Amino acid sequence: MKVLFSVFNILFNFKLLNIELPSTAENINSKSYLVRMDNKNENILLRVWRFYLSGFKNMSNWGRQVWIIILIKLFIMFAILKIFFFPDFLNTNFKTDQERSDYVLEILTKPK
Amino acid sequence: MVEIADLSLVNWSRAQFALTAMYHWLFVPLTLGITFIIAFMETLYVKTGNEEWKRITKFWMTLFGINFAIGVATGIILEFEFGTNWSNYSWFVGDIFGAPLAIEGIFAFFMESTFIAIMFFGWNKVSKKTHLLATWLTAIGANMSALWILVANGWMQKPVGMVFNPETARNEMESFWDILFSQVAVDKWLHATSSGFVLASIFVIGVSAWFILKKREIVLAKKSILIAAVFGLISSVYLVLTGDNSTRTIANDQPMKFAAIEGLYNGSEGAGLVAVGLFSSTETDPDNENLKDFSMKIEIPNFLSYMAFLDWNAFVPGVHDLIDGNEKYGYMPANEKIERGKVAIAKLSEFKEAKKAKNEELANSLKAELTSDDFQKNYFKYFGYGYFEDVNDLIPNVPLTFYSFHLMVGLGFMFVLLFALSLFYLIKGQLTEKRWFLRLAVIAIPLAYLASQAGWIVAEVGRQPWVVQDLMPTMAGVTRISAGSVQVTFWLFAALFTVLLIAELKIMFRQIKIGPKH
Repeated sequence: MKVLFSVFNILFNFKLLNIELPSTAENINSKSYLVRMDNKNENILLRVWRFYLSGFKNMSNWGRQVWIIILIKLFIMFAILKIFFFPDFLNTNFKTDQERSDYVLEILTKPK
Repeated sequence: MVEIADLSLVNWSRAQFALTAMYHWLFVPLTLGITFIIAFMETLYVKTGNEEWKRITKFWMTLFGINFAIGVATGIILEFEFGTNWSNYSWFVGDIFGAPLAIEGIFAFFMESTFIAIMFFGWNKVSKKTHLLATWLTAIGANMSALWILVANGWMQKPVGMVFNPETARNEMESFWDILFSQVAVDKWLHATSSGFVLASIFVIGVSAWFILKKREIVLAKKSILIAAVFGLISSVYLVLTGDNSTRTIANDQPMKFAAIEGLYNGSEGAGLVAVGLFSSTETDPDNENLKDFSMKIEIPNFLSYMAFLDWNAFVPGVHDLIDGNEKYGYMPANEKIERGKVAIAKLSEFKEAKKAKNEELANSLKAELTSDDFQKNYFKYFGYGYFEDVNDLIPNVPLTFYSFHLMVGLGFMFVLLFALSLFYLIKGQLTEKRWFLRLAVIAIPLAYLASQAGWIVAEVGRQPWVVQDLMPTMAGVTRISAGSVQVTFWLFAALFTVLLIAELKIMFRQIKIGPKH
């Protein structure tokens, strides 16, 4: 679990991404940074990217905690529960929609 | 009970769905309501330029963020269950259920990922007005997301706007608008969202009351209580009105659920409303454990008739009228419905056999008969009844439905009083002295969650044994898998959700203790 937290911490700090960003809230709020964010000549996608990046980078402690919980939760849900415990019954057992229809029709018409 | 599926499998599948839905609903209502409260607070900040409002807005935004983050995606598990545990049901409802859920997914993703990001990351990066717009759109978006889920649920309670295709064994959408604007769906959305507004208002008042009790953040607490009490009071009036409307819709479309809500066994003209009642431990009918006599009750004469049909002397059918039938008032006996349901199933079976035998002519003629207006109206309408042998299986758990409804309504009226007193003491300048009231406000937070859960118990337990009203009983919708595997996932979910809930409460309590930033 400690290793997992360290990985998340590195990701949240974007140390692996080598992107130059203001490191403190004060810098974020500085005028020079605002000019960069509001630079209308800059590509819109790049501005959106920077917006999210700086948001994640400067997230509060509780924000980081809940993001860790979200990621763990999504991992458990999609990588464990969905794959090992929740296969789609009809998609797994039948190849075509016709076969699925026939199966359900069989069930619906045999109440006993 | 018909042995279409093992009873233990049906019960475990139901328990699993109930568990996940109830846990999911712990997170949803606060999001629905607190986003509007935050939007009001931020509007005041933008209008007045008072930094105190910004601080207040940011504090409640933090609590909203925690609740949202922990609750996000818990609803997806319900979709896993549709595919694994309720595959017959999922296939049978076809695109009618899929379309609203898909719209909800797209709505939720785009609205939430865009506007919530601006709410949390956008301070000082976008203009004040853009930020405010994002906050309002988050509130509206969250409530619009709920609309699509409740449209799907509303259709299960009253199937409209579709036709059953025997070729595919699926219901196909005929009118999207009939489904969207079904009275049940509209009532459900308005009632569920306004219940979220009330719950969030109580949450804000309760947390603020705690601050006052601790003699901290008095300004923040009083300003928050003012906003929440006004919003809560207006919302609770609206909640009562939407609830009242829902009651009439239920009385017309799901009379058995209505009878269960009121513990009404024998219908009458000018029926009285049981305001308070206690069931005895013995059954009124030895064949049915769901029917218990009242050991005491306080009844308001004629009020139930008025509530159901806006007529003080209208006839309200009881459980026995719906089971045994009542010719005078036009209620068909349940046995007759069962017979008609069996005819519909037999006809569908004939069609299936004709198809299997590749007898196209016979299959086409049977399909034409199955889809004819006459057959649909007189037989297919009762399709689900064909799965039953015993009429007693058509009766939901009356005591549970009755108690849940009365608990919800009783607490609802207590909350109206709480909002009114909050405003009264605030205006009189006596709020900080009324420590008993502040303690009551804190205790009201779990009570609001209890009322909210009770509302869903009324909606879902009251409509049993149906998963799709009159068309598909719960036992027919369930996938034929082993009950053991459902038990395993039940306990897995119980553990996962409990951990999530503890995590939310821990982070939430810590942030409340820390309080707003100065």
